[in-house]
Amino acid sequence: MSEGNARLFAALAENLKLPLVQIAQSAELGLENTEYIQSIAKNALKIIDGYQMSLKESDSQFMLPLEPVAVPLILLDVANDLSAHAGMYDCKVVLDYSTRLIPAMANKAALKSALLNLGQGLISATSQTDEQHKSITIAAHHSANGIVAGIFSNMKGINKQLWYGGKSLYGKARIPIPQISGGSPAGIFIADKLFEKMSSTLRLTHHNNLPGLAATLITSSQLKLV
Amino acid sequence: MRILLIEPDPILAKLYIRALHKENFEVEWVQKAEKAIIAADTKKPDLVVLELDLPSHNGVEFLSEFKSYSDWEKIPVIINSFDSSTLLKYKTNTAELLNIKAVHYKPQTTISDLVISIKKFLPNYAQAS
Repeated sequence: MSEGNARLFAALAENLKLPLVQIAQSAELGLENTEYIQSIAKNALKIIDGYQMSLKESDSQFMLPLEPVAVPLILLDVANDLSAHAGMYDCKVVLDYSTRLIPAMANKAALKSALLNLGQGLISATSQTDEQHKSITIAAHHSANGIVAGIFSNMKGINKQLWYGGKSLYGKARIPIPQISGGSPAGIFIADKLFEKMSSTLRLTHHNNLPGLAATLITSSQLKLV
Repeated sequence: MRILLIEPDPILAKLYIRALHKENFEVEWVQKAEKAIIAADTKKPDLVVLELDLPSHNGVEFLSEFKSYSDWEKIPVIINSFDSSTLLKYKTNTAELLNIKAVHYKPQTTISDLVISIKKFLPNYAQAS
């Protein structure tokens, strides 16, 4: 296992403790709401799926195959999948994108997985803030270099220092991003890897003044000609 | 009897609150160290249940601040945390000094274990019940 994979695996293991404890303790109290337990389990499985997808990293030359992707459809899917999880954390999911977004070059499954993992991380982070109305925004917009797609939040304290500090500490510190505790934010680092495998970079940016983590995807020039 | 529950995860917090209410404890729940200090001041808890992994200021910072006030010195603290490495230190070194009565590693702790600890270390619980 490469060092990068080992670090990601350690973060994943740390991250999965929280949903497993949530399930075990819900079962201990005999909660009859099975949907609730199912939702926790499903989200944990999504983190594992994302991790597996990013595992191909052992081959440093490996890149995920890219195809023209309708980003709004992926965002809608992600919003649907995150809504139950967000509900458990009293967090609202907001969708914000222009209907005129042209297709971007991405790997559909990896893009969806990356955004889901990012979303879970930011929902958990937002739930620990003092904001009265907690929300995350799943958004995409055009930029000079392509389409910026990511997850944004109204929580305070998301800044470059947090992101780059976290990146350098992950795999070394148990809690590389203190603002996102209650487990290691492995999902965010899995998303980072997945974007890397799509020739993009996860970075801290803004969407309508909301800070968040997003990546720029190049637009599909092939479809522009059609 | 009032418990100050310092737990960042709302899902786990709701489970603990449910279990503690069943045992007729009052629970004051906060997610952050800063809020915990304010709650300790205003709600006068009889016991503190603390997760060490907290957003911004962590549980260790909370403990050193909390135990620096003479009024709160004697309030028992039960650690219930995902952080096994720091837990180990508290088991061996400074537990007595900080009035840490029990140290639980969350993945290996049931809610019943936690409730038993709380009952055991709550001052005057035996007489009250």
